Amino acid sequence: MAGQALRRLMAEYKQLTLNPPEGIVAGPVNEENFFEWEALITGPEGTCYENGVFPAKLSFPSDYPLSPPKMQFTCEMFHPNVYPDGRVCISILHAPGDDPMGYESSSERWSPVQSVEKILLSVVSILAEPNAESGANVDAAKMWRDDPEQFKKIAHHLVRKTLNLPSPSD
Amino acid sequence: MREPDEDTEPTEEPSPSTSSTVPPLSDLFNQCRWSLSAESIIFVILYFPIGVVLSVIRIFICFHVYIAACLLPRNSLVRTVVLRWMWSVLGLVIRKDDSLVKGSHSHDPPRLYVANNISSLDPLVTHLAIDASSVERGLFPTWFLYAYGYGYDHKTFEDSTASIALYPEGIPTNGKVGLLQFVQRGPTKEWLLSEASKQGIQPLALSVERLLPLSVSVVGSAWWIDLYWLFFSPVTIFHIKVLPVIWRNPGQGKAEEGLLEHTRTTIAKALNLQLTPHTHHDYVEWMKRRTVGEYQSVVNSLPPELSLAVMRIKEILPSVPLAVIVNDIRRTGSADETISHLVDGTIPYTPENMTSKHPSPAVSQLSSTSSSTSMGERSGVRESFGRTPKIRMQSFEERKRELLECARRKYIQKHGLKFPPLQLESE
Repeated sequence: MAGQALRRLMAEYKQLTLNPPEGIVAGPVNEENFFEWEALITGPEGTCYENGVFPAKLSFPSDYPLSPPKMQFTCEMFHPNVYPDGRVCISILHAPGDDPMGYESSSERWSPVQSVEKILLSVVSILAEPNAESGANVDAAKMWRDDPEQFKKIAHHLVRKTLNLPSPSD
Repeated sequence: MREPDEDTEPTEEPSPSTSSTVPPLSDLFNQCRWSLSAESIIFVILYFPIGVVLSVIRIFICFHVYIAACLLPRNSLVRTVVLRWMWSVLGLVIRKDDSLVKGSHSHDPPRLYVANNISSLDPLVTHLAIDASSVERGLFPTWFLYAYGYGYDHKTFEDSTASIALYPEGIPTNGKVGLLQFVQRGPTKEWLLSEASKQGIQPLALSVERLLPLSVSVVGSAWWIDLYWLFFSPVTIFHIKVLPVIWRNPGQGKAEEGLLEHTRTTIAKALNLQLTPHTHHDYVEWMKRRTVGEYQSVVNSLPPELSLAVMRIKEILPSVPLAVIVNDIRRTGSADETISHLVDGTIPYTPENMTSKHPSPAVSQLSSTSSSTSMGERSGVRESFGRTPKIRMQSFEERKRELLECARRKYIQKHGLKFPPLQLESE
């Protein structure tokens, strides 16, 4: 089982190295352990996360690709679909069986034909368009709806942090 | 001496074809290489080993012929004789019939030949028979073109005395049912035809016969496959009928179009073929529908869960031809294994051209609105995938750094920050 997972991960790593989607870098942190990956995701242009480079950790189960990996941002993140501790809550990361929120359609769920690339692209698209219905971070969802200006300001702050630049207020 | 008008005038009206029903497009092409009947199959089976040996020997001889073609001077009698003789050893025999034009050369014959298209080897055949070059490059590689003088443009036509052959059908037909519409495509051909309307056109009627029930060209076949079967067959005889020259008719309004259609009628009459309203464009459309239809039926024949998986894989890897996916999933029965085969490169395939670079429409929208190309670079792309973990990890670290630096540069540029990009570089 683990052998198959390794082969698949290696293949996906190769694909992501040779033909990565724009603004995304992903791969195993250390090849001693192929089940722990690190990914850098650039905030899409034209959004409040523009130019931010957000690091995240992907942990793959040993029965990957039957079960989905888990994804967690390792930087500070303020987003309606990201838990305050950084865990990402999107439908593609959930197997069709478990549905914590009860709002997802099964077509967007995890299945073995999905891939790391697809997960990362989904994350890019929720950075561009947060899904306010799934309140992984209720405060963020609320602010995104009610006070977009403040939300933008916080996001901008985060972008600067990821780039190691001083905050705008400094 | 023939009066061209006398000769060609009657062909305008009675064209036997237009009155009868139009043949379907699919009848114009050979769809399979072999057309076997009960009697011929035994002969073919007996011949097969001989054919294989023959083709191998001929492949080696072919190299010598190529060298000879490169060395012999163009437009010389020696070249024509030697090459035609050598090609008959390779199985390509050309019978030229110019009885219709014998003695009719009151002045120089036209240098523009127009022929019907019956195989991907036609340019080669006309070159050997009448030393004419072709405008069409066809699918031949450059080294082949070099030896046989294809790919002419109007400059060489003006400068030299070489003849040029055109195949205005645009695609080989089987030469048994009908002719496609003659169309002129591209500036070179337009120029040539307008030139020809002054000089006249020399129509050629091509036909081919073979001992084996083996088509010279089939739809979508590559030139080298056609060439292989040529080597395989004991002999392939191309008949070239040189038809009377068509001079420009002063009564015709649009000279080039009239001439071309006139030429088509003449060739069709000589070969006893129908004039069909189909064009090269119709052929392209037909091919598309044909392939899609074929694969659709193949996909539908799979068990439902597999056909669903095939569609999903196609979504993920849009450049992989559907047929490759279907074949592999038949064998593995698992979407996952097929994906890893495809991504690993264990199954070779020629990528289809993709219309969109990104599989996800949401993201392609995002990137199309972005101005990232203005930076003129894409960070984090690598040409190769390292062989050892060490190289890979190093490259991974580099790519991460590049991505971060690139984003910082963009950010600083956008917000007009003053400090130099490397001032706050992380440890």
